[in-house]
Amino acid sequence: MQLTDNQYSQQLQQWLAQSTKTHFTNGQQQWPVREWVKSLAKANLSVAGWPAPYGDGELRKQLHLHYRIARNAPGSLGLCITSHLDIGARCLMEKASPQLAEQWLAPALRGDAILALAMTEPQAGSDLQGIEFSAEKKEQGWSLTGVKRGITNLPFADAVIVLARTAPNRSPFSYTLFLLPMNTPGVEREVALPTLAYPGCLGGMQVKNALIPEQNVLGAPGTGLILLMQHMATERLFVSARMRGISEMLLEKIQQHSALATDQLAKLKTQSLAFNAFFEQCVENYIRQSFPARESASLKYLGSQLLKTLCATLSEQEGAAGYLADGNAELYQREAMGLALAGGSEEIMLAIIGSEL
Amino acid sequence: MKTTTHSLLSSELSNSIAAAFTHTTNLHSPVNTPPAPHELIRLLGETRLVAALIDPGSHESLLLHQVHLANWLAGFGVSAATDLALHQLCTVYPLLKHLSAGSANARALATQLLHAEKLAARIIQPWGHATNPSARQTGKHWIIQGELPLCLVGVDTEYLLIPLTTPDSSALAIFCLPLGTTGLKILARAPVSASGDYFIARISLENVQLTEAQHLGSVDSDFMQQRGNTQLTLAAIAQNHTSETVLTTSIEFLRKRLANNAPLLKLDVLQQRLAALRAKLSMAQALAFSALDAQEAHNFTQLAHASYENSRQLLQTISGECLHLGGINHYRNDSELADAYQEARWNNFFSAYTPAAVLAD
Repeated sequence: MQLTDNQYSQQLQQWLAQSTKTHFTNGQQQWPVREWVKSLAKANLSVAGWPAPYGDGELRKQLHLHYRIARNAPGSLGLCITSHLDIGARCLMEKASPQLAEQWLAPALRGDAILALAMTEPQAGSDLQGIEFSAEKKEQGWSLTGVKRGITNLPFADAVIVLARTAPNRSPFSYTLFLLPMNTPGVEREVALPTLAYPGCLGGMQVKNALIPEQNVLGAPGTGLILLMQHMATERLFVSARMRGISEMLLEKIQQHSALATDQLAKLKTQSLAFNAFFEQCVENYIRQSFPARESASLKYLGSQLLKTLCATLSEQEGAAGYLADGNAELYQREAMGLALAGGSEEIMLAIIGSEL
Repeated sequence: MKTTTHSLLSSELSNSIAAAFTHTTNLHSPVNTPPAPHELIRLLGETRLVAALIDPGSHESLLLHQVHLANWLAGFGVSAATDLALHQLCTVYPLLKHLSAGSANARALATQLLHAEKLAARIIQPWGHATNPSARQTGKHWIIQGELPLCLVGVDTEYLLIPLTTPDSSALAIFCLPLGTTGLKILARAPVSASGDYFIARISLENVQLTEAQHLGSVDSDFMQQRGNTQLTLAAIAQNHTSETVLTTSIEFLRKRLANNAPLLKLDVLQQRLAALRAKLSMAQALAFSALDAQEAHNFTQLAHASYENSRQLLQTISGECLHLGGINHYRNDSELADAYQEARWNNFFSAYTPAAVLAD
């Protein structure tokens, strides 16, 4: 991944080596999300690529962070950190009022508060305009009611950015984004979902008449879906950085295996080089603020395809061991299946690209 | 931000260069007849685009001239003719120019090439192949012995430029070998165009005797590799351009074609197939541009081969899929999609040019 700041890269490598050694030498099962966010913040590594005053505005630095963690740390932890920092907190940084940002962003960046972004519901994942989670305007603020499920970080998050319906029809202006503290009366956290990968990381909540203040609205009321669609391009870019990190690590594992035919390896290498080139082009376009939905969807779709191909190759290479539930190949395979859904499934990505043909 | 080919493509400079190439297309008549390589070079020469390619003035201008040249050639179809034209401009001319200082013959051939008077056939070099011909000097002559397993020959190509290793040097000695030379035999030939104007040949060289004047000089292998890499990269860009044309044609066809009063393009199953191809094409374009940007970088060879292989395979996939989606309307010899499908197939000859080991490294 292109990065001109070698010092940042070296510091991050050192930090990762130390943190991985500390947390994973004894087969730890709980993901130290909060500890890692705190530690990253102390080392000035968590938002070094954010715009001022948080960082120096070099987006590639931020992408490098998630790419490196994806290469080095167990999948669940990396996904949680990406969801917290550059999906949740970034959304707050870009869209929250100064008062709300002051209240929640500083603790989030210190690791004192973990964030999640909640869109999916039991009956509405692919069809965001079909969500039932609703918000009603009250004198004291907004009253929220509904269910969200399948949300990264929700089993342990302190606050969640939530998409809610604020008008009954399917107009794009019928939805609003809110920041919902999880300790708000009326919010009940569900137990973590028993997902194939990311144990303990994906969860849900049931919300009934949870009252939050007016200042917890992100952006203008009625613009939530549109803001979220813009934010989805960011989410897909960061998820793709993770995919790139895992893909490169898998390709290195595959290359070490002598049994693979040269032409098969050449094909995988070509696919990897092609994805990397497209990723760099997408980053360039994102920085230029010319990153359409079609392109972010293409990136996510292609990253997912590459990752699945590499996982399948690794499984085949490892023979029977490649299919053992706790084997590396199977774990990566399951993670690839999960990442294929993050930010929208492959079919949604193709529908986005197809709609612009 | 670093200047990349991708970012340059939206510049005014890019627009003006593209317009110059488009103007050149309009000079060609009749439009529907694919021109021969010498005709393509003559067209470029008339509008000074060859001169601009050779001496572009700036790095940005060079990149843009290269991209628009590749796209311009692809506008005539990915064919043996356009491949040979690309070969003259990317590999043969730079090589002759490099040798011009020490060889009057090289100088003359370079001038003739720019005037589209005398063109070289293309040796599709199997890297590290054991049957490369050898050369030895006997008195005032050179004796060449061996076989060239894969050459692209056209009606308007007159000679081969053969890079050989000699017993005395690690550099590559370059010889000019007219196709009518005694001892040069075409052992097998396979046509690669419907007209029969171009064919792939296996050529043997049996005690071919050449004069010192035909020994144009020597170059190191890095020089040759660099030229070959540029040619591969531009060929990838040209193939992507053809893929784009084919995909657009197919989409337009499916937009107009109705089923139950709705365009076929609205069918999810078709739209998703096309969307997947569109995404893969965007990626192939990015890879080819990244290879072009890496012309001075250490990994140019790998990126050039990767981009060529990726684009070659994608063109085959896209042309095949789009021919299928074109239904019986396009399953006929006079269809644009059928032409693209058939032309994409002959590109397979050049897969030998990309050894898997280069990519697997």
